[in-house]
Amino acid sequence: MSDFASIDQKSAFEKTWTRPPGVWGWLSVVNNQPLACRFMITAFSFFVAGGVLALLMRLQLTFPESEFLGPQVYNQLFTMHGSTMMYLFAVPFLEGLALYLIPLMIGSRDMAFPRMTAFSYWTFLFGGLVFYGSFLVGAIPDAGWFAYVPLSGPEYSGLGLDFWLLGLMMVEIAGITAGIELVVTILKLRSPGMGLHRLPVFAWTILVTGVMIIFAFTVLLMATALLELDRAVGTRFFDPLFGGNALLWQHLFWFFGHPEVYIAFLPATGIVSMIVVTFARRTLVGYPLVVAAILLTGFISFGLWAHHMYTTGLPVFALSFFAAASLMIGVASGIQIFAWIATLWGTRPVLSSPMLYMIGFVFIFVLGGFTGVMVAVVPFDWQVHDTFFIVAHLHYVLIGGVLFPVFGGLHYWLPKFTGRMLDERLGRWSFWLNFIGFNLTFFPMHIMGLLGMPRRVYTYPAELEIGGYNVVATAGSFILGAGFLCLAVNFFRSLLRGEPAEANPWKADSLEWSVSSPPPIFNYFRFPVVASRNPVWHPVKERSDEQAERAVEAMAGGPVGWRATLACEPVSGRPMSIHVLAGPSSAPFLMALGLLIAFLGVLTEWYGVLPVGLVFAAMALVRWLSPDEEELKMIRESSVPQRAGLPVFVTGTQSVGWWGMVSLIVVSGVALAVLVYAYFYLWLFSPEWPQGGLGPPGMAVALPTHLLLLLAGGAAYGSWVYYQRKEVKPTLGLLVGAALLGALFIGLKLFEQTRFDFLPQDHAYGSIFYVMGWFLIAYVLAAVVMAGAMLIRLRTHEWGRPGVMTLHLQLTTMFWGFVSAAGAVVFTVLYLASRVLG
Amino acid sequence: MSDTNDKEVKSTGMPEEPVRRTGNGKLAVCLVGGGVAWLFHLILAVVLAEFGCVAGWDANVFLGINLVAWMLLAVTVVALAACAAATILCWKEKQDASNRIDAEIRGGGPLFLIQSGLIANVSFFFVIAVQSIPIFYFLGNC
Repeated sequence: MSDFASIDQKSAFEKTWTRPPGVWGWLSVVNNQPLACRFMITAFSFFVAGGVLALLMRLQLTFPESEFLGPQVYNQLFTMHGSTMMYLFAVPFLEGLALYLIPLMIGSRDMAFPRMTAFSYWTFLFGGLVFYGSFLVGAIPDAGWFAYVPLSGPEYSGLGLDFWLLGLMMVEIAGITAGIELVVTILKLRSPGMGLHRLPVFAWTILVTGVMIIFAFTVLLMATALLELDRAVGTRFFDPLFGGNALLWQHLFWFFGHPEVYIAFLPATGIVSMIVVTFARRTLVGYPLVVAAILLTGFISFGLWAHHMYTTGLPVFALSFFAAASLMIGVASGIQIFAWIATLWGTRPVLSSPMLYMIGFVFIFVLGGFTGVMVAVVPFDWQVHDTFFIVAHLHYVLIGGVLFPVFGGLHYWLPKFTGRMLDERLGRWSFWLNFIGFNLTFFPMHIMGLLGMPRRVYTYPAELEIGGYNVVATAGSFILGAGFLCLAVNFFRSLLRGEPAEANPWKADSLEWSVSSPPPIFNYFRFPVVASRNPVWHPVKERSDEQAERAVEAMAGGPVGWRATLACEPVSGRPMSIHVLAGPSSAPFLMALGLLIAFLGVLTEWYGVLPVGLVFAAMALVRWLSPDEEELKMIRESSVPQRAGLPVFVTGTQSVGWWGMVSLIVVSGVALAVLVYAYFYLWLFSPEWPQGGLGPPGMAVALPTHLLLLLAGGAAYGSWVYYQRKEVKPTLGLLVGAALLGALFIGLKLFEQTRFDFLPQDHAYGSIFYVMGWFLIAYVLAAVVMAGAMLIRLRTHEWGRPGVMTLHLQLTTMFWGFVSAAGAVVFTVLYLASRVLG
Repeated sequence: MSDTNDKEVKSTGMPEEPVRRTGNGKLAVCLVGGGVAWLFHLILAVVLAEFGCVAGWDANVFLGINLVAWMLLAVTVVALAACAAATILCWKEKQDASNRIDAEIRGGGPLFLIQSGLIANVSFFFVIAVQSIPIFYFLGNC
């Protein structure tokens, strides 16, 4: 079937979606497909680097008492290997895969916020370059991928840890923005008929993973910020000598660290579900059970973190709950595995490369799960903690549970991305090399660990008599490396000489297989209407929803001149509006660059560069968010919305932007919650509070200051109310009031801080007191700037005319609401808690 | 959107009767109610166990059970009740939604979420129950 009504329409529509030419055009790309490819290629490049580091580690460990590399270099290797794999490969690669596939699977033309996709990529790239920039100056991080204090604190580590922290902060920001995008896109941009009950399982896993990222990555972002403050500014969050607490870091890190492994694992299970269904030629058995299991996993993964801390001296009673939860999460994984087995049962699946990797995954991951249940038991873990038994377990679950599905997924979807089939023979070779190499490498590590070989130690004594196991493991690692090489050769060979791929070479069931290989840059010329969980196998036979058909018809090959997709009701998938997609812009790249400059200022201790970078980033953000008046004019004059019977300018839950702001507020709320948690944690383990012999903080300045903030929030809300009544003067007046009151709050807060008789460096109490204040000041500043921007735009606004202004004012009001609430929380914690609970 | 009687009828030829929809609030409770109950159970259990034991609350014993254990048992009962309530809500909504017109109109999305939520809530009930087993090993003291 031809997708296009005429050549002219085809050209005009394609032109709408192509990027500007030249290098600047390449930097301005916002389409999901090229950005997703960049994510995956960059992540895979880091994977190769991390793999080389692993091979070097194996060479060091091959023989006992080897001095091939030495302890210092070994520490750097395992730090960078772990950090690369966990931060720069696993999640970014899966995010990249999702960025490519999700719009295709749900029937959307792009992600919800295309410029944020671009920002996410550039921030990820710059973060990774900061990590590896440490090699150039010989300051390679060496405190492990978990960077426990005090080893990672200012006293015991050097510049390498600053590279680690700042690079990681950029990577976390990239992850959070991508997570927000994926959640909002899946909830709001689905094709007509794709209710949540018909969502592909991969999309379900990405949806839950996105929510997990929003919570988990924000916690780590705050933790790394606090540690960097300890190192750069001299705060005392983690310094026990000054009232800080080293375990606070571990709690915060592992609260991220355990969900992190499920953030990598869940999308991998989504890949498995998609592939198993295709090769079994049968719809997934127990779909509601699988979705429930995904939800269970997402929740329970946040309740396991202390099983990484069994040996830290926490009360056994408390540990027992984590042990129970750690055992229970196996139930959720088990539900999925049994669902796959049930799906395959009685079928004759075609055992091509993708399916081989799925079988390999089940075998390896189940073994990893067995050892997981073992180490969930506290007394057993006390024996094997910090031994190679744990190394074996984590690699079985991560390589088996994540990498094998990823490789299978690559064999499955690369034909769609590139339009070329991979070679099946090379695919089987790479599978068997990977499978055999993996088991040779990591199975002996169970025994090595039980025999006492410690992890993170560069060598071991000959008396342990485990040299033979290590020789086998090293040999296995090179076979595994050969397997990866085979896959890489297969990929490049396919690009050059691969057989052209059909649209649906696997005869699969999901929507991405309904478009050409490779897909057009805009994904869909005509939006599909979905009537089943297997839309390609069971397409719509008769027209049933007139409104959906009308919307689809109106949007076929259009609009031209501005980018748009259909936005839906989150549960039913019924089209509700037309969502305008942002066009190409270099602003995301420039904003990421500004952040990089700011972070480099901290890294080099040229602190004057920090505000320069932040201002640069802020200016890029203004450019990013500034509406394009020409585009707005085109939208207003377009006939597409009228023909579709759908509005363009919407507010509230109908608006995609509303969901984006809610996500931002959730992230900000989690960040504040981390600070609140840190406050009470430090208090609980401190012999006196406030520390330093201080009394409860005075409220003479604080109380009126925080009341001002509440008033400012009220004024912002009032401006929204009056705007809706189209009353110009009250709207503008209240916005001015909000901005002025906010600015006054900032001034008074800064004044208050000059009157304290303690500094943030004096003790942990001082640190948390000041940092909570700075956090609030930063957010109020952002809110004041937003109010100011709205004032400027409202001066030229055409009142009563539909436009994007209504939504923007609503979002500004929502943000002010959060800021006011945050002010109340900060006041309660800092000024009231010690009085009331003291 | 709240649970209201909606007199609007879609053009499906169905008889004109009020359409009762599952409100988004009930859907949310159905879907995540059990999870939220589980999360609060775990957090409170860990906080009470850690801080209560460190603070020596287990020195207070009533009917042979220490105060920390009593508090944890109370938290467990509340969490199980909350989870059970979410499960019952889900069950009732499932019974209603299966028969309701809007299940067809909205394409079965709410019914599916209710089904998945029901499974999840039952699972969370089981998980909370298992997670409370350690309490019985620390009834005397921490």
